[in-house]
Amino acid sequence: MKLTFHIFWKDARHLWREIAVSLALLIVCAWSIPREWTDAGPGLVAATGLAAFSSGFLSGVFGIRLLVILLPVSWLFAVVRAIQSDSLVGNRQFWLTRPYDWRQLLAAKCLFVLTFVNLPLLILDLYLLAKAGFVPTHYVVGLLWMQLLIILILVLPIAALATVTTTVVQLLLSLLVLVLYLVGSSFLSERIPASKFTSTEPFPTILLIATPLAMIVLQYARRRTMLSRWLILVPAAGLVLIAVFAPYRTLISRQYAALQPGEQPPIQMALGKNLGTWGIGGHPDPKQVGILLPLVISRADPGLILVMEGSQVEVDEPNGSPWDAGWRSMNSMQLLPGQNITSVQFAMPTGLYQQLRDSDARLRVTLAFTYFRDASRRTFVVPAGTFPLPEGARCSAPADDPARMYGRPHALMCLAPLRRPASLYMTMKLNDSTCALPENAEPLPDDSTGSAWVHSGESAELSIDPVAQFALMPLMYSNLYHPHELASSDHPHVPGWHASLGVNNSTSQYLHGICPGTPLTLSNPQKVGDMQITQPFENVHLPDISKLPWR
Amino acid sequence: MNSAIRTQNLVKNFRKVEALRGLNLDVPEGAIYALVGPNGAGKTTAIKILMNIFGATRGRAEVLGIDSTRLRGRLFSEIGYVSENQELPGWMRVDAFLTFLRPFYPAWDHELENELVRQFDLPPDRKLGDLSRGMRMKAALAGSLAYHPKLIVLDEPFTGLDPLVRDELIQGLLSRAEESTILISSHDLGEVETFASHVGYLERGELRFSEELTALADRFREVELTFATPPALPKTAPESWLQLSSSAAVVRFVESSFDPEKTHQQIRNVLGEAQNATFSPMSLRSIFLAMAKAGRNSE
Repeated sequence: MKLTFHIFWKDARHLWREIAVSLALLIVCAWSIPREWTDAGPGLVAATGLAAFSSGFLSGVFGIRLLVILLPVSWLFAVVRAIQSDSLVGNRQFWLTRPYDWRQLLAAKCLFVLTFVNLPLLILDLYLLAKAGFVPTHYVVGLLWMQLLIILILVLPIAALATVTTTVVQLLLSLLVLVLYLVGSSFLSERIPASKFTSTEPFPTILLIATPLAMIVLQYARRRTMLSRWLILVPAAGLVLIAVFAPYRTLISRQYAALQPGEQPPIQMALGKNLGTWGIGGHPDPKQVGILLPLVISRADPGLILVMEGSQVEVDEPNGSPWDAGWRSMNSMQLLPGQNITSVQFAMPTGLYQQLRDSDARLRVTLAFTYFRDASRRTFVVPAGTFPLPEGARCSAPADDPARMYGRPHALMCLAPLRRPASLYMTMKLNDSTCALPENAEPLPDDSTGSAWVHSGESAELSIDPVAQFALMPLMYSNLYHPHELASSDHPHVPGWHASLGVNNSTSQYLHGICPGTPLTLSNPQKVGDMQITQPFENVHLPDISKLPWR
Repeated sequence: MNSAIRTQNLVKNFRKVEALRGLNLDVPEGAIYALVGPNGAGKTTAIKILMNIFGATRGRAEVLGIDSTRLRGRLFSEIGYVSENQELPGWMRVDAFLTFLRPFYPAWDHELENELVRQFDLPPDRKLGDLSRGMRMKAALAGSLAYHPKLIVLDEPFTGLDPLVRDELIQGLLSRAEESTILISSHDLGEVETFASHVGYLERGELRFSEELTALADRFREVELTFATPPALPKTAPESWLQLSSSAAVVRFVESSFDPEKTHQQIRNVLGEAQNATFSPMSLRSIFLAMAKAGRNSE
């Protein structure tokens, strides 16, 4: 143990500049992150998918949060330098013939990570939680989980690369190769749409954690550099093999259970209005035709929230044999109560399309989705100032500031410890908004409703900021048109979906936001399950379904 | 006498290159053993296997009675290893380097450390990376002597050093010789000759000879024979005769198994009665050159 500390101190003295830079960045983060909580407006953080970025790194690209990205980089740089200062590659290092025990050496490097990465991060997180108004000690387990995530996802792979390289430049080159691999994998993933919404866990996680661990232990215990380098290929090849050869249909049918006999389906599908032949385009592959199938969803329970994960279309060929378009991802598209139009996209061989275009086809559409049922519904009048929500979040409605009215509606701005609420659904009658309206504001129809849904996974997210931000912004969802389709067509009646901020594009739609005194309805939709539902459609005339520019 | 180092049929291949071909080395305890040989003979490879930096392809090696493949961690607290191409932490000052090493060695002698620093004239406040090559070697040696190692292994320590530094290194080494076994690989035969007790000659991965330096000196003689008429050189001379040559009536060769009576008899049998014969003792350098040339001629 004494020698472990001795080696640790040697590294700490040697790398004082790297440590000083990371600590300086940490202090800058401690100063800047709370400012971002107050500065971030609903225009930056919407209550839909964009909220996922609110506590992540992407939002930091704009502005001061760039520094927040530099902090992990400074940690990783220091860790790489610490590992490479007692290099495990080569046979000339002085320490090879000194009484270094590999366990002590490895322990010293782990101590370095704990002291100069985890400990400062923990202190930063405790400070930020306290600064946001939360009691830090209530979230120790979550904070430790975040620390573990930082180690496993961020430090471990880089540390493993550092054990098989001698310089930072060499490591950067290996990272470049890694980036090329990731680009290749994402290309592969695009070619296998089912991989986007099916889980092949735990194998990828085991590979991604076990391999760097094995590399590190192998290098420290035996210094088998070539073998360790070859080990990198194990997860690289393993992930590709899993992506290519995973039995997706089995996985999907296991994850999204089919309806049992006698069971009432939670939703039903109907074909939407014919799209016509607007939008000449097609598939990048000239032998394929891209087809968009409009669907109208009806719910058994109108309060269901649907998260559409994947779709599959089967078409009966003229000879009667079924043709299968395969599973495609629907990118977790949400259908909140009131939204009932969606679409399924698929590609069909041009030859088959030509055969079917003059006759009525028989289609079977399968949707894989997750659905949530509304629960714990209650009404709530937004107070002035900061107030707690039962979900653990602390929220505030901005004071009515005419300067901020135009361009974005007033939203409930919230901070939550460690992660956004598991599931929080908000609705409001837009005409009940207490935000001041200009005299020339156009009135909204009486039943105009705005809604927002925030939901997250069960555990803390990978972030150095333990305070998750989210905004509950009352968006009015209308069954109008997909903006992309509108932009590429002059056809005025193409059904799709569109999240509109109001009933029209006038500025009045932005004014009916949340201000102190606005009554809201809050609820916590609970996940009911994952399911797949298949529905046949007879006598479909494919040419009536538009060919689309492939997306 | 016990062996501090012993290898048995040690073989090391680097892909298709045979660096060591069945090396059998025996370094007695207390010896100052010079392992000499031309470039590429396998000296560094042999030493790195002994230090468990490389693994052997076949065979085994023992260092201080321990299988070299098990040599790691604390077992190095009795071994001092210095190599010409060793990478030292260049960012460390000399004093910090020695201070850093201190806790690793229970037998670290602080007074000896100070003595070595003085003896080697090391600047404590200079970074290792800023030192000359000779100074770095001295710093490494100081860091390898201050804990009274039982075994000191030096791989080409004198290469590229000026005579003054060489002398300082040797003096430092000799002052520790009584308590340690020293294995030193070197090209600097002139220097090695002044202090080595044993010498081993390694060529193309094989140990051609290994014996006490005094015995070696007794065994090798430069022979010059003068005949009345130029003699005919035999097609096959005795194996112990190296570099056999003649110039008019004078025949010269190096006898590698000199025995006054036996050598005279061999000369009479092979070349006839010489009018005059001189048998000059040889320096280690001359022996090394004769061996090296003989090795090349036999290729």
